[in-house]
Amino acid sequence: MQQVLHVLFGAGFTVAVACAMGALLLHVLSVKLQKWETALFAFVSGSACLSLAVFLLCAVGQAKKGWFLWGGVAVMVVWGIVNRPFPRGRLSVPNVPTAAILLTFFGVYFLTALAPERSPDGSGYHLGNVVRIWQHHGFVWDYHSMYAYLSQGLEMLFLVAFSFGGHSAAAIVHLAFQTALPLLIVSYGRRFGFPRAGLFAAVLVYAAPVVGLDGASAYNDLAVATQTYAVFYLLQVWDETREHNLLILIGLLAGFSYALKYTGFLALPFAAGFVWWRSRQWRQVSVVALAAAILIAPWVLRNWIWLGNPVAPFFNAWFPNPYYHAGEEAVYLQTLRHYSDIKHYWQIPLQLTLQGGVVGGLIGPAFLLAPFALLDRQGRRLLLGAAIFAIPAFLNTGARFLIPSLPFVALAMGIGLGSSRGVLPAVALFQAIACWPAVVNLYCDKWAWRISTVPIRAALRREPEAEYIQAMVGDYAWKGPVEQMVAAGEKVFSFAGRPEAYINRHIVVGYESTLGNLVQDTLWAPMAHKPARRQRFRFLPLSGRAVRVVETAAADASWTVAEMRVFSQGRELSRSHEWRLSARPNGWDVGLAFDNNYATRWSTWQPMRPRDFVEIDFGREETFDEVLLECAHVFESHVQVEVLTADGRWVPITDTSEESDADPPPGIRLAAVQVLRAHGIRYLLINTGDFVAEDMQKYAKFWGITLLAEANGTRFYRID
Amino acid sequence: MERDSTASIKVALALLLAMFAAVAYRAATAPMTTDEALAFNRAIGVPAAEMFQHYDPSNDVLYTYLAKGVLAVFRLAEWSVRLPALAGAALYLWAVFRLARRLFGADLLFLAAVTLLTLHPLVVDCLGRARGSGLALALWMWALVFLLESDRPQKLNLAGVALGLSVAAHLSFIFPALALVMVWGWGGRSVGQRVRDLVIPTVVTAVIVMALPLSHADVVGFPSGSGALLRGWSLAAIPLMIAAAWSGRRIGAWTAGLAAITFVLLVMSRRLLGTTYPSGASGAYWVPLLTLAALAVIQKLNLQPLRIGLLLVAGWYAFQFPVLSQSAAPRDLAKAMRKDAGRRPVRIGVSASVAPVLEFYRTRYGQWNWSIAEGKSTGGSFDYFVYGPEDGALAEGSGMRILYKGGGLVLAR
Repeated sequence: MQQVLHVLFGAGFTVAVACAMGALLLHVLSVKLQKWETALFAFVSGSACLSLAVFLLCAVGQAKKGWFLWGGVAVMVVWGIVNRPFPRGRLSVPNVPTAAILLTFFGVYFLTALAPERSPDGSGYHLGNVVRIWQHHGFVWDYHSMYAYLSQGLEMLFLVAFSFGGHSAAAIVHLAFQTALPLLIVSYGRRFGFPRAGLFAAVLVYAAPVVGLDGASAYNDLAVATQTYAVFYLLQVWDETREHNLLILIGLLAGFSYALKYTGFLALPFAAGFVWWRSRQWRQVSVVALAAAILIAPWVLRNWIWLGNPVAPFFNAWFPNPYYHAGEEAVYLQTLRHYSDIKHYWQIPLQLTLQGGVVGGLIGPAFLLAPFALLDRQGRRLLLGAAIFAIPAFLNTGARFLIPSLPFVALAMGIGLGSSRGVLPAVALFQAIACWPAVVNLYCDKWAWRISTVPIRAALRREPEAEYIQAMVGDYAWKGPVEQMVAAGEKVFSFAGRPEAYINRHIVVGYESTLGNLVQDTLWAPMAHKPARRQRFRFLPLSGRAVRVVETAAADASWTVAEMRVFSQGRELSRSHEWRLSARPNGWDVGLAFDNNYATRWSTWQPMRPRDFVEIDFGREETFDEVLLECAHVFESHVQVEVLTADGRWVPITDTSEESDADPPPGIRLAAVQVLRAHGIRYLLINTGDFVAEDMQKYAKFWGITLLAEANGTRFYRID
Repeated sequence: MERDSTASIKVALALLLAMFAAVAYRAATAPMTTDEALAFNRAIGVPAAEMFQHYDPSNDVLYTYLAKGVLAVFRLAEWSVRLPALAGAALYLWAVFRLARRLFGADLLFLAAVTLLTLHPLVVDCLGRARGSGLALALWMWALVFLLESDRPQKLNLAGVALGLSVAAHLSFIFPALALVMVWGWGGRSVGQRVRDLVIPTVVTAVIVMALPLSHADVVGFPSGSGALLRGWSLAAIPLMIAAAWSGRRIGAWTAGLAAITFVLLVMSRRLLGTTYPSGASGAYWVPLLTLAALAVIQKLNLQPLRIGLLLVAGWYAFQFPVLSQSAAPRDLAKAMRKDAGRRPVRIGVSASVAPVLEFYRTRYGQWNWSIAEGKSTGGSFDYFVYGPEDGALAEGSGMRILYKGGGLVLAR
């Protein structure tokens, strides 16, 4: 029970500090809001302030409990001195049924959030980042994973909560945003003259199964949805009152939306566009933009300075960097936006509303009535907002990416359906019943992401935490073995993501970083792409300062070079430290084509394009008559050799090669694991479904690895 | 409306009461038919989770919900499974009375309307049958009544709810329901008003009732039926509808419009979705459409012989009334087997047409010792064989002992 109190304190303290900071901000800005609005906007705007403060502490390596505690207490004391208490609201009679429904669902969500974190991304990178930052008291600059590059505005709040209450406290902070959202919707409806539609929309959104589990997990989608909705709300208030300081608040919240999640960036153009549309004054727009920059800039600058890519892990083609390949990014994004198991597009609405298995969750059957949102002019305007905030859903098929647009759709539905008697309560009640966990279980797909049972015993810690997590997160079984056998500072490689929030070791995941890509590619080499192809380019002896092989073809496949050798009269020119090697793209990987390791290779990591090249600058004039490329079969590839002449021109020499096949020397498996060792990776977590799993099991000796343990379809190896 | 008490009204009321009594008697005594048994085996009698995870065309959703509710209170029997249908029958008879009074006053035409609309064999077949078609027909009729009675929003909302429930009770009624919405909204009202007053209640009701059971419907299967929509005698509907449209009577124009739109929708559905044309009880809505159209024409023509002719037709309907003709064979066969097999585990090879009914009676009598193999009435090693009308001859001369024979069914060992 003590643990529960810690959790509640951690979350409660974080939310309270956020509210206090927000109240102070509202006080400073002298923004006039109605009763309920003040409390709600204090929380959402204070969260932005707290997040920024924690970011700064992380940047200077001072993210420590003491700062959080005393800093938070100080903020609350100041708030107590200068600010009035939050205004009190009163439930009017028509609210009671809605309040009853919302409270019932809140109970379910609260218990789910209170239970140990079990969500895939929550126990993976969201809290994984938090734990890592917490252990190092700040950002970990030498850790590289695409998930560490994302903006982590909410993780900053998680960090405060986590420092007092652990994983569950973080989830409850997210729950606070989830709870604020329906209240904002109700409040908006009251303020702008459609209270019944507001109540209706609040129920529809809050009861939606994907909203339920997402908000009760250490994710960030509900925080984004709440912030973007708050931006929309304040824009309407500004449109009514034209209070200048509201624009500052709008900008801050729009900026915080970006800080929470990149997809929240849409709030800024939305806000700026709205302000320009209504005022036609660039000055007003610039106020919004500048205020937003306060919360956006820290994350942009962090990534720019740290990685050379301000928007890492995306747009790597625009901002090439050695930490994440543009090609891998493209593959990753393609995976996210691809619907699997969908035969017809009309299946998507059914998946989203009723089935949820393919799209990772469902929003509830009441949203089948969404077309009625078009009936009213005001509803159609809201749908425009919904369409804008639904844009990320085109890039990611997950139902949770639609959450930010749900409040708009639900409100528009409320307005459209509200003109028919009795329809709003009937549909709201239907949604509430149909979305109740026990009822959802009856009709949704088995694998739909949802709350299927309410974990009361786990929430109250009557069931031991480890037992519960073990039952929910299969890989938790590796916590003990990995932490016992892997020394701190050593790395483990895995093709698949693991619950890094629980396993306290550095796990390099295959698809998450350039290093992961390299290791994955290297381990695949013995089976998938032995460099058995020899391309020999012979020409008359010539002298040049540099030589390069240039791709002339365009194809979807990557162009790779395992080794590039230069010969003179049959003798290979010895590789020298004076040689300057370069390549395009991925110049930082070029050494892999000159390391005499057949398991490694330089690769474009993206579809080959004409003018991709690998180049050797000898540093002085060299005479040579042959270039040899050792690589895997890529039939689309067509390469020519070019030489840099004394007058600084690249002259094509030949594109005709003698091609032959030859087995690379034996020991390629050992060569592969040597690469891993060189990168500090001494252990492997291999799923039985992984490409190399069977080979590793059969030929462990050839790989030079020892099986340490096996459980839940995963094998744990040590590299000897 | 005219006077509340005329001879026609009294006769009509007596007829309706007798009709209801007859339907109730039939519901209580008749054995399960194959399609009733299918609906029970595949929807009513299965757990909710299974029903929601697999949609079966036998699942008349609203009926299934109501029957499940009844069975939660009463024991499983033919009458308890049919109780919602009985309620539907009462609703239908009431709707017919109200509609006929509104449209045809209290004279002979009124009486003809009541008798024709209630005694038609197809309607009789629907009412009291443990399927949703009777309930759907009743609710559709109520929607028509509400729409004809008033343009007040409350009445329109009620009509919408009735239409939504009608579709939920039997999916084939989606066509006449859509047609009714279109015909009603044909003139004089703004699109917004039409949508607000009728469409929204209709769609919302249908979605609320049907969304979950149909959540896994890959291709919505409409109740069976095939062949051409218009052939033989049914071609006579075309001049009838033209005459009704020109009768100058509101109901004539409505029924003509309803029939035309329903026809178009059915054809479109067949072309675009590959659905089959409804037949039998699934197409029961044609009865009120055609009957009301004919009545409108006759009312316009105002010829006494035609009115008397209508009563003769009604008499012919009554003559075909199947209240006493129902065979109890399936139930008697099940009882015979229960008596013979007792509680020992037995394997039964059953003709495909009889298997659903036998499965129902296995549940009804709790005979979990019966292992039923459908479509295996020949060959195989079974303790019993049950032959349907299609292969009953096989039992003759097979050397097996006949335990029961009747109604085209044979139980052999």
